[in-house]
Amino acid sequence: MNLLIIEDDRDILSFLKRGLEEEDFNVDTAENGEIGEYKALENIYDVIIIDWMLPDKDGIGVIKSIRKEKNTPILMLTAKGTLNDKIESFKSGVDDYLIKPFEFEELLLRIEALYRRSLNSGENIIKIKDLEIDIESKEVKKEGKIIKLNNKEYELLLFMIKNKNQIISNDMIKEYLWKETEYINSNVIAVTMYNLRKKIGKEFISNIRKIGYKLEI
Amino acid sequence: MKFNSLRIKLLFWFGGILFILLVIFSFLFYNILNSNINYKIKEKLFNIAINLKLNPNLIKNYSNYEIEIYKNNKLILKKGKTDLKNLSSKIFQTFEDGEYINAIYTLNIPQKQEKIIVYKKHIIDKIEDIVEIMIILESILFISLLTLANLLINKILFQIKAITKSAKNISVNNFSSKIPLPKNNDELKELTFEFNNMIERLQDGIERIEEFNSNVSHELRTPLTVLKGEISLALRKDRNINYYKNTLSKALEEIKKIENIINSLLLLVEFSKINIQKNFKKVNLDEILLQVIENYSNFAKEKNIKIYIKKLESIECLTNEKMIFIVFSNLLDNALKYTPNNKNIYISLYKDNQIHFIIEDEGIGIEKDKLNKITKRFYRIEKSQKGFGLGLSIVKNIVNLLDAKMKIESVPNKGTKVEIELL
Repeated sequence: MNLLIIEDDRDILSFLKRGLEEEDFNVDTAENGEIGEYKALENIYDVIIIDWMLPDKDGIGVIKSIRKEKNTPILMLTAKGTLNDKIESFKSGVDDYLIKPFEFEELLLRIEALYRRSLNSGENIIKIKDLEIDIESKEVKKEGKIIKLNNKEYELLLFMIKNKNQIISNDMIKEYLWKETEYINSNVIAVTMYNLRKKIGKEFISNIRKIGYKLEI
Repeated sequence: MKFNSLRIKLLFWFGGILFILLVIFSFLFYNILNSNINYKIKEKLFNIAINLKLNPNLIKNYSNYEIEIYKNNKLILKKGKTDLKNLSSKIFQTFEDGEYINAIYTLNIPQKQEKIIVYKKHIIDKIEDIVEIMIILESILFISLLTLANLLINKILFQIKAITKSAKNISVNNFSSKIPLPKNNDELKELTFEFNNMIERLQDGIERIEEFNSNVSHELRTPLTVLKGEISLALRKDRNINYYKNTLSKALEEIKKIENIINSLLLLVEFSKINIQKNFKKVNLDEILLQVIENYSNFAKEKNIKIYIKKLESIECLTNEKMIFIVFSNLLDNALKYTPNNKNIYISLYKDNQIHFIIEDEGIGIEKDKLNKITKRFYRIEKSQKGFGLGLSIVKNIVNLLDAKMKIESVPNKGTKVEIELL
């Protein structure tokens, strides 16, 4: 899962990144609003965590400009805790709100909940025909039998589910799974996709020649 | 209605003074009236006596009078039964007779040994009737004036009651009620105006305290977040010793930051005009400045920032040494923090009409719309450096308490110039 943290305090950023990477998240960071906004608009993230008080730009402003183009789940992390602050941030398009100082465990649960909601109305198990995906345990079953997917295949499957019924290009897949890693080319993506389709069944994801892939539900 | 209320007091004083004035007036009126009537009677009787002296035969014409006329000490003419000669030894005298007044006048002409005595019974009603009417009229006047006064007092008290009502509604949480200004341009309007002003000032003060509290709590939350985050992260799994050591040293660092914030808060609590001005003494500003620059020389060396002293005069002034020290330190600290490595800082201290302290940096600068925020909201431009954002706020506070002025000019990416003007 791809996360973006926009936070100007390096000490906070440091433990957030460390803790979340430990939980197998891909964590990207931005230390000010401008870079954060740029990254949020350019890249594909599953959840964005943002601090309200940023040195250059108000967090609310960043959220508003992200919301004009994307509906990526956003969690506001802030020291401002009055009701009016909460109202203002929810109105600007925030999906969740956590007041500093917070429990790391709670942040984790909230991020996961936001992610689940963006995949699938918030439930832990996603069912597509005879395919069952347990987000909590990361188990994938077909006709009741467990299928072993590697990390990239699993992430690719969730990415396709999240963008169901849309054509997803090679570029988008590369960006989501590998970011700027240079040696990754369309061949690597094609192989990963081939393996995933072989394991879960070709009927789930269709290959649209020279354009990309589509998961239809 | 309370007995010690302003209304009762005013009515009591007004009524009392009015009553005394009316009594004095009545007394004077009575006396003047009395002497005036006596004079008129005397004049009338005198005229009759003169007429009789010229022509005693006219005695028949004065049918209502009793008259005795003497010549050579002998009674030559008499009218009436009363023995007039022994009635009065005075020239003119009045006697009260029931509800009436009797009057006697004796005209003596000693050379001719002539004497004419004129006496009139029941010459006039006594003036008691007039006095009675006067007392009734005065009572009516007294009561109506008192009622009128009460109405006027009500009109004045209405405004005071409005002020009282508004004052009752004002609390720390509610400054919304303002008193409507009266139309008349009087002292009450002035009072109301000033009262409203006071409400505004209090509101402003409370807002500043609230803002300050929220900023302080924000300042405290950041290190607390790191503390809580690092510790809870360390406790999630079994870690190696180095991980724990790392977490503990980070925790210690954050605790130091919290300590710093609390120390600065205590400093802010000490700040009151009286406290600061009590400790005014002659201070060498140049000495303090050089001391501060020396204190920060290591920090400057670390970042390879050169501090240039553009202008330095020996200036002695009456002020609070500790506060000046904090101002210089905080401003230099800020300049060093926000200036990138290998750049310069310029400092001037000189005196013309006022004392000027100027510190210019080649730092990241502040955008125009943030210049106001920077002192108001403990705002930090780039919070990546260690330290905390109370610095400039403290400077602003001290500058106000010393009755000095602070100007900030800044161009983004070029630098910031802060000028302090002391009187």
